[in-house]
Amino acid sequence: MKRLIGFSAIFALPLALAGCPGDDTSSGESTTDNSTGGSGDETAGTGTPVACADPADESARVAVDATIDGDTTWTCGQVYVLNAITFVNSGTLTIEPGTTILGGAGSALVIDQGASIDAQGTAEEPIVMTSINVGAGPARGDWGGLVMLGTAPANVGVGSAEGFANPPSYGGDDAGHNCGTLSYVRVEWAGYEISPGNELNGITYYACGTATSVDHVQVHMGSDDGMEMFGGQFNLSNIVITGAADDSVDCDQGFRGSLQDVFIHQDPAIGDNCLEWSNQGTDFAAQPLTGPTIRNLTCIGSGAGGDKSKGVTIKEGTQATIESSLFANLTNDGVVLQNQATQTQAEGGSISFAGTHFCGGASYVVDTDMDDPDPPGWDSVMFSDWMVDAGGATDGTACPFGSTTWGSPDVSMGDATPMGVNGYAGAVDPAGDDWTQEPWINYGT
Amino acid sequence: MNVRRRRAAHALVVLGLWGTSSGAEAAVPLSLGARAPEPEAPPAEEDGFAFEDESEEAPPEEGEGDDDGFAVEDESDESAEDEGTVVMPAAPPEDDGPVMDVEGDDGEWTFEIEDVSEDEGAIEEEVKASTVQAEGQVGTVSGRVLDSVSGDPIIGGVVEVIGKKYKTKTDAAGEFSLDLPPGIYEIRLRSDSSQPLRVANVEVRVGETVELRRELQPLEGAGQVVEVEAEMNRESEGARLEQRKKSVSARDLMSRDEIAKSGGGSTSAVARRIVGSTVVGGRFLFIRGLGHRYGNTLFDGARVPSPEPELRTVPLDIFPSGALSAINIQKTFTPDVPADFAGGSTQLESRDVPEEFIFEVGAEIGANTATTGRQMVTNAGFVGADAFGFGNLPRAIPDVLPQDFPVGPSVLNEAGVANQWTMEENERFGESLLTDTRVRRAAKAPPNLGLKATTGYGFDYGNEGGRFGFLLSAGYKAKHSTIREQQKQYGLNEDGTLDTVTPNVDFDGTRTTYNVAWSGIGLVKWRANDNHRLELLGFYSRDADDETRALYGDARSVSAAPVINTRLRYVMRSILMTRLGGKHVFPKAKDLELDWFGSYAQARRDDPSMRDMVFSTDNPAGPKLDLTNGGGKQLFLDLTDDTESGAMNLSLPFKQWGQLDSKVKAGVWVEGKQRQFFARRLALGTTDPDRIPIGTGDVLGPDTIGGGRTDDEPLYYSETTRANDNYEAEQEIYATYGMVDLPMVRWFKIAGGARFEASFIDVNPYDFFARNRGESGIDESQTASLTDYDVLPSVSFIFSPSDRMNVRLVGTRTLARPEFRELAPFEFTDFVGGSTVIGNPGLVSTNIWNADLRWEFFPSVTEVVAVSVFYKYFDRPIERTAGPRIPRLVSFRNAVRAQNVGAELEARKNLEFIGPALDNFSLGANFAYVFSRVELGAVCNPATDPLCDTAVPDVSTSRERPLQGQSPFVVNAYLDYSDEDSGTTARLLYNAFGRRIYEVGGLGLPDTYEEAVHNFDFVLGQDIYEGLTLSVGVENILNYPRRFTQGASKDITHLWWTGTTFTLGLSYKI
Repeated sequence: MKRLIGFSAIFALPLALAGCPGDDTSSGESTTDNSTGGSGDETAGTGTPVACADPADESARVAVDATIDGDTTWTCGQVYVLNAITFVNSGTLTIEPGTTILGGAGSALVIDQGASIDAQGTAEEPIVMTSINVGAGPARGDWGGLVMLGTAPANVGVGSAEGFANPPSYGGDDAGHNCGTLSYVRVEWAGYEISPGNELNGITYYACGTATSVDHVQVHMGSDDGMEMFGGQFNLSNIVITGAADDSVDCDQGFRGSLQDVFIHQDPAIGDNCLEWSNQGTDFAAQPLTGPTIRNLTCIGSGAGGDKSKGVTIKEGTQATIESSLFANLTNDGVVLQNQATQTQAEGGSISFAGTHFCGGASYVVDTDMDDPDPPGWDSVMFSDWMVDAGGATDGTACPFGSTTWGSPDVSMGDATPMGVNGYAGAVDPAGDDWTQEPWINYGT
Repeated sequence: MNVRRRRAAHALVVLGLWGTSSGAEAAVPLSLGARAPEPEAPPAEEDGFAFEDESEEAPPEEGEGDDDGFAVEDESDESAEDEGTVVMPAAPPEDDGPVMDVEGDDGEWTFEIEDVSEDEGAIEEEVKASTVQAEGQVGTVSGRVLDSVSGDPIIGGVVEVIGKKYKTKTDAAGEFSLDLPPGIYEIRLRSDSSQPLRVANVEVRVGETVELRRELQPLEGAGQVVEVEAEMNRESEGARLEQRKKSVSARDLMSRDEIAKSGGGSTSAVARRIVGSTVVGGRFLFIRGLGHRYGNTLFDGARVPSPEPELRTVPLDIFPSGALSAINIQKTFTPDVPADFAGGSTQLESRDVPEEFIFEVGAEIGANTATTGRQMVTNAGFVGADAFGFGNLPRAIPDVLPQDFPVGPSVLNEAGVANQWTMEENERFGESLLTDTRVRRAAKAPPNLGLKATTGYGFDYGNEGGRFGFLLSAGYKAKHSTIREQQKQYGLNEDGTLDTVTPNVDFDGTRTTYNVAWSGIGLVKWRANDNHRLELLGFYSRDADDETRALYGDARSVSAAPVINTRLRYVMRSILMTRLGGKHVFPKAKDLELDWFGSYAQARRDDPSMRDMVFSTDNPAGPKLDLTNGGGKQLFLDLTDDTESGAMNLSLPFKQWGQLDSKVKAGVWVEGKQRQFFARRLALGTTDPDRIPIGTGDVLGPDTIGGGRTDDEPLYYSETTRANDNYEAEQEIYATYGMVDLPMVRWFKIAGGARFEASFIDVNPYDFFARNRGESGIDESQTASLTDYDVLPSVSFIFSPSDRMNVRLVGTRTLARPEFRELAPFEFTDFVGGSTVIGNPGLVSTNIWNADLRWEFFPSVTEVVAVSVFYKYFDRPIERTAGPRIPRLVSFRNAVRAQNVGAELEARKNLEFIGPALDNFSLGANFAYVFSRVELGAVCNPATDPLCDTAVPDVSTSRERPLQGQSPFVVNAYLDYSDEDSGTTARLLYNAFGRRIYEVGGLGLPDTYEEAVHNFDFVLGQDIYEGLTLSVGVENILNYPRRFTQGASKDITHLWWTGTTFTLGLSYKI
């Protein structure tokens, strides 16, 4: 039945023409054959514009090999099924708008240092990387996720990526490294544990440099972090992280990029920090220090039913700029400060919460050894004072969101939107369209 | 379940009591300090099968060093057993010669060894010249002395009475006769090429003849070329002493009683007394502080595989004390043994068969202050199977699990485009796994229990020295041990100090291990005649650790709130070994000697159904299973190593130009090892985190485990086995050697030769599921192989300026090859929470140049002083390195070089010199100091530098440091008391090692050190009735903490106390 529906969709939907530009199709198709299992639907290669394939249509699915070398294009006329950890070793993997990539157990898509990805969907035809079980009971961790490796600086020097049998390396001195472009891309149900204790994140950026471009990207229902950046420096905008089982945006090992316009919505039952930023677990002074900037974030926590939901954890001597942002509905603390090295950064002015509001109030705590009755450094009261006095945070702001309901959020507040550093705070500009309601975003489970 | 477990414990206790009361035991008087052995009975007749009765051994007496120790036999025990047959009215003593003092006055023995040629007349003259006999009312001791290896008569060997002037020498047939006044004597047999042997309690009666027929072990380094440090150690506490005296022939003399009296000390506990030795982790023997990589293990010459996949060393505690007669540690290489060691070659020797029927049983019961009677953590377990070490069977991976595809709701079919399993199938798979993860805390630990039994029989037949004997021995031990531990991990502050205020990991935990070990050995030895012998050995050992661990604390990298981590693990290790060997002497071919063996061994480590759970404590309703941070893992590991080894050695004695005994030896060695490593990993996933049950108890079960996808039951299992988690590996070694033992003059000898070894290693990780679908499953990019051809020389110079002094200078080349796992370029995590390890296919073998200089002096029969210095140069040693990852990643690389310079001192002295009251006391000590430096070489990046020899960048913090695991010093000391009149022996033992690197730090973190440990043990043995001996032991009297620290201020990373253990044993011997 599904198969019939799929076919009818192909012939019936004129929309498909827009979704799959014909120009690239023929050239892309020939290279695609190199990288697919060969069971693909060759009709897509005729040059005739084709509708995007329905992921449920098994006949449109092609199994993807473990390695891809050279320029390759994936078209929306096929559904690409990742069977294993697919390494793009060289060239550019171009993915057309509307293309669906399905991941099976143990699979992931890895863009190695010598390769890049060009995945530019559209608001109407996003590129979707999701579970093989999508539509039939997907779960977090059904597949691995997207991994991009670069040569920008990381404070471990040359690192060895987690979770792989042959761990690829990342990091170097090419600050401008280009991992590729992601635009209108959705990554769902990722986070497969590919090695003991190492779940992949929805999207993991290892040392991606300034030429990397990421906008309009959602990570939905990951079993570990939503996005994690290990070192590197690049800009991201219009980011949506929904239902991450662990942290939503996790930055480590010297990431110094910036994020603009970010919406994080935590699952009511699961999810840890909206932001967890750390320098390096081993050496809190390792250079470059982690120092991300995030502006116009709206973080909606798990609420009363959650376990771990928190706003921000900063630790290991990281720097942090969290500006014009809103934190609401948190189950636990607003901000957790760990390690005296981090306090040192705060005192030195390298941590800022300017224009950031903790809606309805939140607690700001210093994490210390539970066995130590009188630890050195700040206690939570002193840190709370710092947050408001020096950190620039506003505690207890009223934030009348349209809805914080899981699955159908509306985080616009119109005129009630609190003020940020240069205008509004939070992800939604009260004066403009609400980008968080655009059709490429998936709030459903 | 608690109830069940407790009942079992009671049952054990009852058993134990039964065992103690019914067990009787064997005790035999030891004549420890023994200058004046007590006569117990007439001397027994000794047949020449080289083994002496293991049961009663003799007093450890002084001994000597590692090389030539004195062996002491206690004749009295034997005689007790043989009463009636032993003492015979004798013919009048043969008059062998003058009874007068020869050169020298009584007591002082100043005989110089003369050249003994083939000329019988000369020999006779020589014998006469060196004989001092009694006259008048005398009895006679006569007999024959043979070389235990060749079976040749020992010509010109000295037979002397300890403490008296009487002495004689053996003639061309190795025979002697010595007249003595009636009395009880201790007689020493020795020659310039043999290990001395002492026979205690020889009773001489007027007009009677005592027959002494003994074999002497060739002196290592003299008779056999190059020095060997032979420690004897019977698995007993007392072994230390013996060790000294030991030497090969001594090992046969170690008494079974010793073992009983030592409180049944484990093999590894005994080994700790060997000079320069430390026991690591309670199981592994390190010599001169060098780690696993630099040791090998042979059992009666045949290779023993290790059941620990990442280690070369074989854990000693897997060998039952009843199976061994000795542990010899060879510290310098000779061409006739495998060359893959630098610290020491651990050579285990099986017990010999007895000379008559023996039957020994023993039982012991023990308690540990940290464990027994205290609350422990346990799991439900499988009471019946666990009690016998078969708990791996009910925990085995279920048959229901598919072999051709992994388990999980998103697993793809062979076409790779759709699901392989239905929800129902997945649920069935998941529910087939063990789901009991509850940690039980109610039970109190029962006492420890040990039982053992040995029987054997041997008899002579025919007129040509035919002899046949067998020995069967079995032992069983069950014990609980609980430790309360602290674990911490730190990051570095800006100022370079460790952040101890907020450790990354800060756990407190309790761990109880229920260890069951049993073993059996069967041995048949047959001597067709003096020239041909065969022996067949079968050995099986099985031990199992049922470990329950519960940790609680902070894991800041994963959770702000404290977490609970529980792990249930059951590890079974077994070794099965068979060996057939023979020794043949061909008198018609100029006494050409041939010895050979063939052996098959299988080592297995089965580690099924390890269940690791993580619970977060954030939820106000209670702890909740935290899948995101590693909760809900189940792991199956199974390693099997098959090892075949065989060797053949030919040696030909000859006389050099000056008619001194010389020997040339050559042989071949073939060895094969095949490994199969099986691993499957499963992790829990959830379709709805909100419906995971609260609590740490019975979270998993049919009601919660479903098939994923749209199943209502919230949990499902998903396989995380990776394509290269399984591997097969093979190594073949072919070797041949030639060596010669050539005295230049009587006081100077050169021995040397060379060994050629060819080694071929292949490691092939494979995809378990692909293989089961009929494919090879091998990814060529993941395989590794290493081929080596090496010529390994060994030369030694031995000076014997006097009868009591030796100086040896030895130079050798040996090697260390990478282990299978270290070569395989895939990443592997042994178990949850363990280090992730990645191999390096670029590793090469290490060449090691060794120089040893040893001076040893024996001031008297019971005393020894020895000093050694050694130097080792390691060309490209393989070291563990830290990789650029957090948490830690471990890899391996060839460092540039390492050098070890060390010295060893040992001394042993009877305290009689202080005063007669201290006659029964003796004191001994040994000390080893080693200075070690390894240079790691420059950091390089394999991704960009084709010449880089690492698999991942080496970010180890310290670039020049001691070799990992190398202690700067090792000290062993002991005070012995032995009173034969009362049948009492007592020993106080001390050992200590200096702080050593436990784990190499990376990314700026300092190395983690294991701090020095000081240990005192006390053992008391008391004969209480005929054949019945009581033993009392106290181990680890100080309860010294085990501390692992990091950084300049030595911040604790791991801390626990093992507690003091008390044991009470009874043994009975017929």
